[in-house]
Amino acid sequence: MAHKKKKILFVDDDVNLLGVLRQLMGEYAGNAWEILTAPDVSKALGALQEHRIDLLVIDIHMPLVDGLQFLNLLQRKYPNILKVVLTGDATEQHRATCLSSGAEFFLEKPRDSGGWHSVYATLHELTRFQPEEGFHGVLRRVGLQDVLQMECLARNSSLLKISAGNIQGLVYVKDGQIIHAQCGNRTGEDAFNYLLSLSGGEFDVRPFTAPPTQSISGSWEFLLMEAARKRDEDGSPAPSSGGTDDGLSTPPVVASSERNTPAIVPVIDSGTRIVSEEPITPAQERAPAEAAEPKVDELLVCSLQGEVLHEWQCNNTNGRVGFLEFLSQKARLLGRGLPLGDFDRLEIDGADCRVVAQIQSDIGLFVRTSTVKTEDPLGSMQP
Amino acid sequence: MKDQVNQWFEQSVPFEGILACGVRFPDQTSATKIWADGFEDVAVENALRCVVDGFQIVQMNRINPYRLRWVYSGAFLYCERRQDGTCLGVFTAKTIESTGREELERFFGEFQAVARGGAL
Repeated sequence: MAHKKKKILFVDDDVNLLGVLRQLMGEYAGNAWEILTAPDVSKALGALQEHRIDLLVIDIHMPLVDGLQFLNLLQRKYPNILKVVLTGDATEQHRATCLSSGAEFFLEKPRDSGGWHSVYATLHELTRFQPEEGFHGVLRRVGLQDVLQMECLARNSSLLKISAGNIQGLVYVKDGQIIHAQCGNRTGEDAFNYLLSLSGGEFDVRPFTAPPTQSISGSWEFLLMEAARKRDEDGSPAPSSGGTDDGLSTPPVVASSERNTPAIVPVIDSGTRIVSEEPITPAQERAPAEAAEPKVDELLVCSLQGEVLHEWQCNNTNGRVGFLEFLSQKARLLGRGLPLGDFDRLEIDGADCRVVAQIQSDIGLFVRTSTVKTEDPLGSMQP
Repeated sequence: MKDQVNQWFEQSVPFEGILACGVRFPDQTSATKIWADGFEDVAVENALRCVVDGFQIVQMNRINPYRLRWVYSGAFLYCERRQDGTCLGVFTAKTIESTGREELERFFGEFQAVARGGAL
């Protein structure tokens, strides 16, 4: 009886090592394995969509998205795929993190051929256990955000079907951009924010199909950050999985009246030169949020080693990169000795703009938005 | 000015959601108040130094900041700076937006108004 070949995917940014693995493991496994390799998470996600992978072997230190982040994504998106971490940085902290993130084994990269054979034997034993067909995910606040982030980073096209109780929603991702969301009577960013505020439920990543319309045009980075910010700013519970969606009421987490609007202190001209200053009064302090919509003016994504990964309308790239590097160091220093937890981002409310600078792992994100008044812009400024 | 801000700060009372706060003056002295476990004067003073640096680097990037909010997984740090350079940093719980937002705004309003002729 012919045995079906097991598909083993090795993910490592060291392409030389991938070559060695392909050769060595191929020799050990004979015809039992089909060995696939990917030098980064993006290509690994592509391979996962193309093939039915039986076992993933992942390095920890990789640029852009590291192995730990990838494990977290896999745990939600592909919980039934067997995962093993193979690293040269086998610390106890990494071991604990990886095993708690769904890795079956945490292996150290060997330095001799005997060691590689032990690795093969371990992987071989593991592949003898067949996981169940199919998968399902548990939707948590961070979970859905992570999945969307990874779909966008990988420039995937997919359709996320989200359900929580009677609530059903869809998020369309095309070539790494979130282009449409719908949930009941809601569409666009309203639906997107609503879905990301759900406290529990299920999601299913499906092949992309064209949406009925394109209701979202903003950058995915900004969309995700805004959704996170709205959740943070709201202390009331998010819609639960047992709730119903009438499509009419706005959930607390996206209530625009909670938005942190900048007060008008200095009045500055287009060249950011201060031309006058007005004392603020309580009435002036907050313009009605519903009368203003944010417009993205500038966006930059960079590694904290200074490599610009993506920028849009950024006229001071070096300055922004330097700012993010500064922020990364300073945020850590600021939190020293204080029970603040992990740093996530700095929000800057300026006179005519809002900046969010976020640091996650080795990636920095800088987004500057301005406020576009949509109704009665002068009336809101009156004392 | 410093005496007046100091006096206001000493007389300020805690509100729901506040964990600790501190004020740092242009002469690099500071004062702190702590209500939550785990916060110590030295660490809050260190944080205030970082806040001042943060305002400077933000301005170097040609952004004129009105307020900074440092977001950590377990708390917020809200910061404002007066025209005379005095900085106020307020550590709050993450529920502040729903439980103590008005008090927080009042607190910063008082900070900006003290010794400037504004009504407290």
